[in-house]
Amino acid sequence: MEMPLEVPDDTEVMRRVRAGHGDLVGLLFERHHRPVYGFFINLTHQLSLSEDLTQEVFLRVLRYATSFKEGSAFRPWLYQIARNVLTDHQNRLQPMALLNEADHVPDPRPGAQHEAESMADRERLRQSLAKLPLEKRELLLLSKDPDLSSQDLAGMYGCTPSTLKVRVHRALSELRIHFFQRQEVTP
Amino acid sequence: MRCQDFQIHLLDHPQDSPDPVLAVAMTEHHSGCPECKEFKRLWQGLDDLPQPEPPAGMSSRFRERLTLELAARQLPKSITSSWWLPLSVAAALLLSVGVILGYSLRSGNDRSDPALASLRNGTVADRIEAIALVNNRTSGQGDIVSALIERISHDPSLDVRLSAVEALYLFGADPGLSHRIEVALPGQTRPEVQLALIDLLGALRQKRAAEALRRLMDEDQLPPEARQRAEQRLSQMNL
Repeated sequence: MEMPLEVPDDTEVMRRVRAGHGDLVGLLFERHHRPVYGFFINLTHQLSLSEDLTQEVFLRVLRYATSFKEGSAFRPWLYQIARNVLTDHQNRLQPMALLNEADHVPDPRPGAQHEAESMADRERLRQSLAKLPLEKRELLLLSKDPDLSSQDLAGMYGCTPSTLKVRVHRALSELRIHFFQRQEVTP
Repeated sequence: MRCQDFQIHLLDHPQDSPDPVLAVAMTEHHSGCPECKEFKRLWQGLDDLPQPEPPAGMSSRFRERLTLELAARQLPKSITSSWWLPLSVAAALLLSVGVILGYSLRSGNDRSDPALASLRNGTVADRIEAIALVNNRTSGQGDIVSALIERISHDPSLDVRLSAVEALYLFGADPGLSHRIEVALPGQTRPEVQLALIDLLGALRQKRAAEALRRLMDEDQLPPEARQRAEQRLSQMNL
């Protein structure tokens, strides 16, 4: 009788990475690179840059594996690294803005090309998001990650879940100003 | 229910269990409040942002970088992930072929050193990786500094040039470094690199570096932003 294959969870994989099995970062990459890449795409709208940043995140997983606390959730730690990578990149390139050279980002969802109204909404939303400060854009996008709990997010931002919700509310209120102002001036 | 209450509760995490009474109150408020309808439309719209597929080959490109990183760190490879091993070997072979080819084609003082030759080859990511790799070497520091200065002066990629500047921090004890930075600075057209080199000069905290900053400030053609940064770094050096 065949024994079922053991599939280690992220915390266990990190324990092994810290123990010297650095190649297992490849497994973490396969599990998590899509949402991290999507996070960068929605923040920067640059395809090549998003790939570079995503790769850098997972290389830092290897480099800073010892700072991962045993028993803690992997995804919030990963996103914390992603935020640091983006901040470092932005600091290096100042005063250039991240969104100076936006690429066309294809939407792979079936039928999405035919939903003209929702496409227009998405484009306006993308442009409105781009007008927000980076930290507010980050916060809104991370708030929408189903794999991050409110406790996870609050831990990442070093505040209580209630305080975090107020911050999200502020960011969304600012987004609303940009979004609907744009709509009002459009004939 | 007030708009503020509606909007705050709207942000409740989907994993948090909803209160049925609250849900009814929110539905009632939403139906009669245009402002909160806008708010909800935006919040839900964020779920519909494009989630593009990662580009083809991204995983293999990452595996190559990871293999290089592991080789540089000399970490033991896991024997538990047998699926990973053939890919690592293939990537290492590819790297070796690239290095040997680069070595055979290269001329100049890096002919004797394939690692330095690889600084000039491949994609931007390859060259940045090569910079990380040569940083881990303990011998031939003079050649490494020369190779990094050469990248700063001639590489078409801004990221590579900035990576090379960062790498030079490890060679701060090199007595000729401040002079070489001073020589490389005027040729820089990008302010990011100029400022990074000025920061490096400031970080050296050497008399020579302070003199180099003073001479730099005497240059008529120095951009105002670079002059201001040089003044800052010089004042922080206290030399």
